Amino acid sequence: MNDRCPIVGSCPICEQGRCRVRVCTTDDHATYGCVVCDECEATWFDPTLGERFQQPSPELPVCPKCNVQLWGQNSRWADEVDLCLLGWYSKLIFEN
Amino acid sequence: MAKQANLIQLLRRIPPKWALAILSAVLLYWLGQPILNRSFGLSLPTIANILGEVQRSSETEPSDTTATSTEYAPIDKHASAHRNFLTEVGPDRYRSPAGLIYTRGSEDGHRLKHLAKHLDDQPTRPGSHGVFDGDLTQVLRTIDEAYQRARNGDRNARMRNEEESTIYEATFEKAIGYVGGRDGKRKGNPLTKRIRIVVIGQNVITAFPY
Repeated sequence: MNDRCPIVGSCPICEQGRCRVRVCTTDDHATYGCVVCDECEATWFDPTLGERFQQPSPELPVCPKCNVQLWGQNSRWADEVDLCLLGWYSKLIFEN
Repeated sequence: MAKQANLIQLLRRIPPKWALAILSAVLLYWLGQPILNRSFGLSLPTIANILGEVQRSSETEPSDTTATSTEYAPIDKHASAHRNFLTEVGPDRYRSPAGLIYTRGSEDGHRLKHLAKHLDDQPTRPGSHGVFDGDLTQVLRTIDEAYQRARNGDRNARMRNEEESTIYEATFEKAIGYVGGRDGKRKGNPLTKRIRIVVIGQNVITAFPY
């Protein structure tokens, strides 16, 4: 992740992390997105931060939509193309 | 499979006296390893760890080139630095005297590695980035103290629940670090006496001065 990675906003839980979009790709090549705090790993289903996902295990946090491990090989921070494909581009803030 | 067959053949050739000596040495190491680590601050691996490493390396040797740094690699030098403070309670799993657990997890691979990121500033990071004074062992002591004070109802500490997460905050008499990151830099990196800890169950997710 670089410092210019777009954010949804500051984390309402830990108040220090940035909420960013994490993109996962499943074995059947479907792509899913969720929002994760880069400090405390609080996870939400979408950039509205309306519904928080309860992780089944703090050791192996997973994507709430596809169950892919958030820090595994099939998951990464979203880039601008990902955000467009997810339809979330307009909801993100690009920090300078 | 061929390697295992060779090993069995080799073991069959060892005279009984030597086999007994090897077994005795293994037993001695098994009994002495935790005592040596505790007494002299060493970081000798357990036999299970040694066997696990051997198995892991033999399994991953041919095709490990795609592995990323975020995979759950065992913690290395950071772990050895605070073995006197934490108790190993499982593979890559440590418990503090106050009962907090540090496990694998986070983008950095282990919670201790993530905490270690708060030993240095990240001046280009947007927002704030709390930076602790001292080394990781000192940070772990600070976290334990803050956690216990918040649990015991200390008037300079508090806790609140945020769904599955519990947030502990405490103020110390002296500065425990400073505010870094871009926001901290803009404010002249002010010293701070306050710590915030995010815990799920007993598992520490992160902690930082703020």
